[in-house]
Amino acid sequence: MSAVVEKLHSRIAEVLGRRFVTDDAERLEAYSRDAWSRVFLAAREGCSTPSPDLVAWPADVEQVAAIMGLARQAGCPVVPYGAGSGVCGGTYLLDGGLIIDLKRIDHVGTVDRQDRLVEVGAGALGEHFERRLALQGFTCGHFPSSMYCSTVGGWLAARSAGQMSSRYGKIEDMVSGLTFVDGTARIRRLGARPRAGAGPDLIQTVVGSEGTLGAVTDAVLRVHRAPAVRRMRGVLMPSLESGVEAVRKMFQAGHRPAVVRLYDPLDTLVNKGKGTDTGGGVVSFLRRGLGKALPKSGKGNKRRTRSAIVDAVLTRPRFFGELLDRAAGSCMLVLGSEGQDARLVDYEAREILSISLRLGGLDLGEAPGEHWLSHRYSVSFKLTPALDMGLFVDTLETAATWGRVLGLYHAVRQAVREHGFVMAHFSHAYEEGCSIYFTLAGSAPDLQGSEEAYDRLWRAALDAVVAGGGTISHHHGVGMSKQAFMHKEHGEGGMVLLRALKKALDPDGIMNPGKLGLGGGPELPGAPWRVTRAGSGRGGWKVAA
Amino acid sequence: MSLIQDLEGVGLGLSKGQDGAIKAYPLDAEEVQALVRTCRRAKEHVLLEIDGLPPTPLWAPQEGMAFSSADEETRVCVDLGKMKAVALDRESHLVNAFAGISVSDLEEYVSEHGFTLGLQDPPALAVGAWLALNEPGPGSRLAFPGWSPVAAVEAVLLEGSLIRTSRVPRSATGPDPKALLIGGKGRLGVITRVTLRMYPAARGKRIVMAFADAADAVGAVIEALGQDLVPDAFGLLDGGISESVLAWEVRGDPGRVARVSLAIDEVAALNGGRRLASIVREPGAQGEMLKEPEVPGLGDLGAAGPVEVRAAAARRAGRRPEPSVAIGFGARWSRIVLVRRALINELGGSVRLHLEKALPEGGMGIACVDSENSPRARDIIRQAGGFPVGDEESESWIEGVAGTLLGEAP
Ligand SMILES: Cc1cc2nc3c(=O)[nH]c(=O)nc-3n(C[C@H](O)[C@H](O)[C@H](O)COP(=O)(O)OP(=O)(O)OC[C@H]3O[C@@H](n4cnc5c(N)ncnc54)[C@H](O)[C@@H]3O)c2cc1C
Repeated sequence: MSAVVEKLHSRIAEVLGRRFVTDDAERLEAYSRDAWSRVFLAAREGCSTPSPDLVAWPADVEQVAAIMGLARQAGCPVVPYGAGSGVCGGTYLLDGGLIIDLKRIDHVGTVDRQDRLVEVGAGALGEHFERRLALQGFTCGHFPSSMYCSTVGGWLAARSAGQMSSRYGKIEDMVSGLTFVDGTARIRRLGARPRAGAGPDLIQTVVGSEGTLGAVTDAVLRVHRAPAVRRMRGVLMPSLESGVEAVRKMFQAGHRPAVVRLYDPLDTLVNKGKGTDTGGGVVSFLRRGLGKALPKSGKGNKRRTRSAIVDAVLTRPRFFGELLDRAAGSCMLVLGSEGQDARLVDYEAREILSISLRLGGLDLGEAPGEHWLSHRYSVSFKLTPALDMGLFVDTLETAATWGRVLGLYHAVRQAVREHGFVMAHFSHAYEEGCSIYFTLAGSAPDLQGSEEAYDRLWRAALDAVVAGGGTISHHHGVGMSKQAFMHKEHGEGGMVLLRALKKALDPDGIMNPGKLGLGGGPELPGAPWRVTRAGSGRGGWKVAA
Repeated sequence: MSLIQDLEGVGLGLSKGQDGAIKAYPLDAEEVQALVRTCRRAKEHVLLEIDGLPPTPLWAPQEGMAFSSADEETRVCVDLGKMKAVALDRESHLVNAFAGISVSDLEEYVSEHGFTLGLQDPPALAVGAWLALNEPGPGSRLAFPGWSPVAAVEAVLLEGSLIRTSRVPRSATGPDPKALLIGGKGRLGVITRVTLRMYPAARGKRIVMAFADAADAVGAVIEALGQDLVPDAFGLLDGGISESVLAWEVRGDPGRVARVSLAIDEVAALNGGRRLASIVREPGAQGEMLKEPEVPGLGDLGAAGPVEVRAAAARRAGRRPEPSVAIGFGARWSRIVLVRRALINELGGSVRLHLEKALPEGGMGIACVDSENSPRARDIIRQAGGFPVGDEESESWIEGVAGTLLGEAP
């Protein structure tokens, strides 16, 4: 360990106590990656990614400010860390530095029943937070698929969206106040007051900043009484166009159903019309669905044959994509309404169903909706089998206005088809548009080939997104993986403004360098390091000011 | 060469005012950009002025140190009156407008096409300045998170570059640049174009209810919001010792309007409310929530805002009405009644509150007090847990960003 790191280590230990800061290699290794698919490819081959030099676990905002002050003095890069479930490479420290894990700041306050607000620590895990609210008869309404492995601070930092965002909003809609420590180690307390028409909304300049401006330590979130009534439904729409039209009509008529998920024909086929989210499900489909079509043979043979099929599909993605498109037809639409007053909930459920039926939908009753509800967290954790098979699977979430959404969908599929398998569902609807969630899969024989194929696929997809008028991210964030596209998203002027904000709050550039296109870091997609076994502890930090 | 010659050189329409200020009439964002860049390159200190906004210096803070007197500044007034074009995106319910058109004209334009901006009281202010001020802010439903009226903004930054925020419903691509420009009072740049959300103009229903006590009225609001009954427009007028009046308006799908109105009635009744009127609101109808001449039983309150109500109360008590001042403030629901009580206890019974917006966690409105009590009233509001408008930390933050922008070479 270098002298600089050693000195910082002992100074942080003075503030937090020795137990709450470490340079232990195994623990550093555990913090060396988030859930970015591309890095799993290297990890699968036993390769490590650059580790931080130190990890610290402060207990409150004052401790966060104190250790950030020490890091600043030492010129040490700092990355705030939630649960590492981010999928964009947002927590990497390419040249070493300090990870501040906020999970000890995990208090959940008593709900203020009049104002319907609750104070929560940034490190609270989603599921714990929601459970504590449920005990008080409330809900936050934020249910990302990563509910069990993500934190409130991570949600805020990456502008997360839950499965019921159409009714409750994205996390940025739920935040009324927050406390954060900026890059100068100054504690800033924002909001927690009703506001409309009272100066700039500074909370919205911190939300989404992915640790590049400072560390969020506490938030005041808006909550709702737990719903007394819920109505789920499944409708089979004759085409994607009719499905999109139905969703548009629902929202423009002023309805706000909590669940609206429209699966494209291929996703509907993969799901066997059950209304489940895919992601990892694509693997089961390729393995089992296609495998079943084969004649029976010995066990080992069958496994080999299945792998061969997956390979065949993924090495000729365009051909097989078009073939599957022909087999696919209708689209599953899962709907859910909920609230306090049965009269209002029933009315909304009836109205949105009748909008769908008027556009040619077939009412499948409650079963598909209930099925989706009970399986809604299960599917996202099926990545490991995909990796084991030598595949990569990733997801791209974009959004666009209604006038553009179908064109965008076709353009991205067209672009990705050259490089891999693609299917999609539409969710998170608004009056002026909605989001599209693409599942992408591909493969290559070796690590280098996989990484190159992965990068080609992403570049093609994001180029199509930008050309089609979509956003490069609706709710996963940018991190390192999409930062090369930030200037296309925001334009030159947008980047000037964001950099000015960064300079105002983090003048030395110590906060999460190399992310969001705000300074430092490589032009991606693609990891900056090929495969590295470099140890940690460089300690010769030099951050872009 | 003088600044005016430089500006002529980039093809801008110009005139010289009698007060010596240069007036510029740009036609689009590119011309505003040329203007800002030229001013930034000038060897003089330029003060940029836009109607309705405080003047913005275009020099870096450190350069400003060398100057002490205001008459060394050249004033450039940007008149956006030629930038008024509007385009509708009916499919996505968006309207794209140049910043020079007034909000009220824009409302008129969209209403001719069967839509509304959904604002409680669209002002005559240019839409760019309105957003830069973020005052008086959107109407009630639109003030709810997730219902923001603004979809996108185009602006020329002080440093000279053009920013166009992406016109997507939502994104997760870093801090929201709109958040710096809206409410930034022009300190970071000139808003040149905006995209606002619009809604089908629909019939609505306004229910007006009376409560013996302001606390009961606030209690009814808390209960209604707790049941997720969100008003499209809202008003709560504190009648002091006489009754307080609550108005709640819902618009849109007729079946929903009927059910929500019924639920509101029930909530109000449970909190001691008495229905004064239920009024059908035609599509596009606007106007202040509590100036409802048709409502029987409203008396003084019906025809007036809080300033008039105070005056009427003073006349009834045989006093001469004092000059009043309206202090904008916001407070969480749990504090509204405390703020009111504190103001009355400290300043006497003539204080009136008028809430104009219901947000999930609190209300926003004005407190009407005697003008000489204004500074004290702000302190009292603060001490009781409210937030007088203008108390934000935002100023220094925005100045920091502005300083960085101006430090950039033009
Ligand atoms: C299986 C799976 C399913 C997912 N489903 C969803 C979904 O449905 N919806 C969705 O929105 N996302 C989803 N995600 C993505 C991910 O869960 C979110 O991005 C989440 O918000 C990250 O939270 P985290 O606590 O794990 O943050 P981390 O991964 O630890 O950090 C993410 C970024 O935020 C910064 N950060 C973290 N905490 C703070 C803080 N306190 N202050 C400042 N910066 C901070 C980090 O520096 C980093 O840049 C999914 C991920 C997985 C693996």
